[in-house]
Amino acid sequence: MHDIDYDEIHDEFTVPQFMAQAILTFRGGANGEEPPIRVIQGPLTQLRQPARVTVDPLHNEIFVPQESDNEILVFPREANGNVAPIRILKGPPDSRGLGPSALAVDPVHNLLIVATNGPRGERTESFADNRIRIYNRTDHGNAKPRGIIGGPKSGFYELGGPMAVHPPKGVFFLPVGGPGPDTDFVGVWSVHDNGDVPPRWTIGPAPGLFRSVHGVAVDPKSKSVFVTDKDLNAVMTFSFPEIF
Amino acid sequence: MALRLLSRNRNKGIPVLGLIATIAGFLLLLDRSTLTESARISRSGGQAQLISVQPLSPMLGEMCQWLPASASGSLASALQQERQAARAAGESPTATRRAEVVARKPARMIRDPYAAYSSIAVDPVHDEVVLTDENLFQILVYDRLANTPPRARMTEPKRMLGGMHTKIEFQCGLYIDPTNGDIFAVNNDTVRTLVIFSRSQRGNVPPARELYTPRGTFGIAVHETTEEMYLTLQHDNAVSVFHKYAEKDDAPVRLLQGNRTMLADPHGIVLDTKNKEMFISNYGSHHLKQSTSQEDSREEKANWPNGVQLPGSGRHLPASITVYPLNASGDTPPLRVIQGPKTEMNWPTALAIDVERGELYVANDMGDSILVFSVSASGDVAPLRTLKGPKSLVKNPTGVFLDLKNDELWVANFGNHSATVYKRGASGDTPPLRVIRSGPLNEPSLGIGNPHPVAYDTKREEILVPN
Repeated sequence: MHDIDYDEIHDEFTVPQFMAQAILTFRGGANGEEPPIRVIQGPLTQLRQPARVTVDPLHNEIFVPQESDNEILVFPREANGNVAPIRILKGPPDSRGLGPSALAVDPVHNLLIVATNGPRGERTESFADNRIRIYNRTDHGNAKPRGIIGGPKSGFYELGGPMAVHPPKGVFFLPVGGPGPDTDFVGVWSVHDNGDVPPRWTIGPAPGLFRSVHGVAVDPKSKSVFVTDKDLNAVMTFSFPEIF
Repeated sequence: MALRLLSRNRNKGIPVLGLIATIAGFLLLLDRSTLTESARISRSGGQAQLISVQPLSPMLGEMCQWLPASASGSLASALQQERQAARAAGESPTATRRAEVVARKPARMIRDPYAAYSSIAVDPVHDEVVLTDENLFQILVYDRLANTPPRARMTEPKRMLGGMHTKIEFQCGLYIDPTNGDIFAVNNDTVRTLVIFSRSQRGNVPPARELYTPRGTFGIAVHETTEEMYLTLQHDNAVSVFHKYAEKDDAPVRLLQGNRTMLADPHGIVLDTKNKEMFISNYGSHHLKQSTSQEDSREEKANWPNGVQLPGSGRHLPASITVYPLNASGDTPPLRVIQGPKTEMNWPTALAIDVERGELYVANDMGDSILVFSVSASGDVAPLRTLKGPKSLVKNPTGVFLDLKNDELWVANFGNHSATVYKRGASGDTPPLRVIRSGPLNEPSLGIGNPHPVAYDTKREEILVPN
């Protein structure tokens, strides 16, 4: 499983299962070998290799980025079975390889925040194609993003890990891989940022802090940020009262 | 904090805040062209007319939120606090404050300090047992006869391999060359490289040999007579066969892949050279491959797997063991399939075979058991015997090895920091003959392996970590 999203309002969590091309939703307190309460799977779904998922509990929608197809599929939150997406946000035909690798929804500002990596094997230290694209939440088709963040100041050497958004403050948290040891960090940007904007805050980079930062989640109540690190096989909790 | 508020006041808070957000968002979205259009339409009426429009200055800060007159004092207060905090968050922090956060240490860290054994093999020539560790990224070599008393903290390895130069990460498959003790170790989906170390290597050293593999390799088996090496491919539902001594960019000599193979998230593999058959364990996640002419769907290597999934073809199948001719290639259906509720299979991972007795051993990860079937078993059949229970110490077994020279069965237990050994033929809740441990007895194993995403369950105040 390469992603998980907890829906506080409905007390459910949702995960993608890319090998069986499915989106699974479990009750919040699921434990042990418990079956999902809903499964999105089948020919109508168009799911190819779902690796990430984000739930918008306010508007009752599930967003699934498909990196290889350069598209984002949107399903009703309560969809179950062989269900077609209700809309698809899709990039231009010539942009193959620049597809969405991770995303988050800000349901308060009605925004969709999408991470895109440059073509694999062609990444350079100029951070050429690694971008955050911000769309209106309900955009569909080949919509133009309302903002694009990226460039040397932004420092997106490698993107794609699960991100988090904190709608009340209009900020999102992004795990960013660096070019070498001790260069990974978690950055915080505003959902209104546009252009080559540096992060407003970062946790790291710092010697010995991260080895390979992967995912981020937040808990506003405890003013905490949770970070996973693949190479440390660890989950870290940071106190971050400044941002909450 | 707002989402918590919405959750607690689900029936009241959502509509109010949702309306506010919608109105504010609508106003933010209005641009000059929209207003001009509105003005043009308004001129046609006979009533009061809009005669000019002065666009607002571009929004730089947060828009003031409107409060309905009916809003409660507490809600207004909460929103007021949020607005103030939002303004503070939007401000550019000072360099000093930024620097404090950059270097901030985690308040807590969840991390298992001990090795989590994932795969296992015995070198009977040198009386050593070799284990891979998916937690700390190591290969550990122990004396085959090592035993760890309950009061001992851990078993001391004879030698270790690990560190950035080794290219060891999530290692899940292991093979020891019976001729020279070379260690073949399979990396899973984070490193597309099979690493081979000589028996004399130790520490943070580059592998003696590397082979660049397709993504998601898991199991390994070698046919010493034909000098062919078999690798299962999780992501591609395939088996790649390489020359045993292949290195770097050498291409596979054969590929087993296709919609008729019934390969479904294949993991373990073992060869029955006597009956010329190959056994594969499958977790059951399945999808079809898309026939494609896209130029970049395959790498430019012969026998490279097709990685393009057919959208919407995914299914969850019961776990299975599929059996093929030893030299199967292409889209070959299995000769037999062991599958069904009687089999008790639940994430069947590594496999071992007893050619003398005609028995197939299955490390049944989620069943906390070792299942033994006849090599000729087919369909929904019960295992001949099962090794399972608290005395056996079998917990999330992901590695199994049969040492026919010493008549012993070895198990790598991912779930309790141990490798355990039994007499061949052990069944039921049999205690192990000896135990190798990477950590203190009863020290809980976290089971964390490649923690990718993370979520926070606010209701239970729990951190959710898929692996």
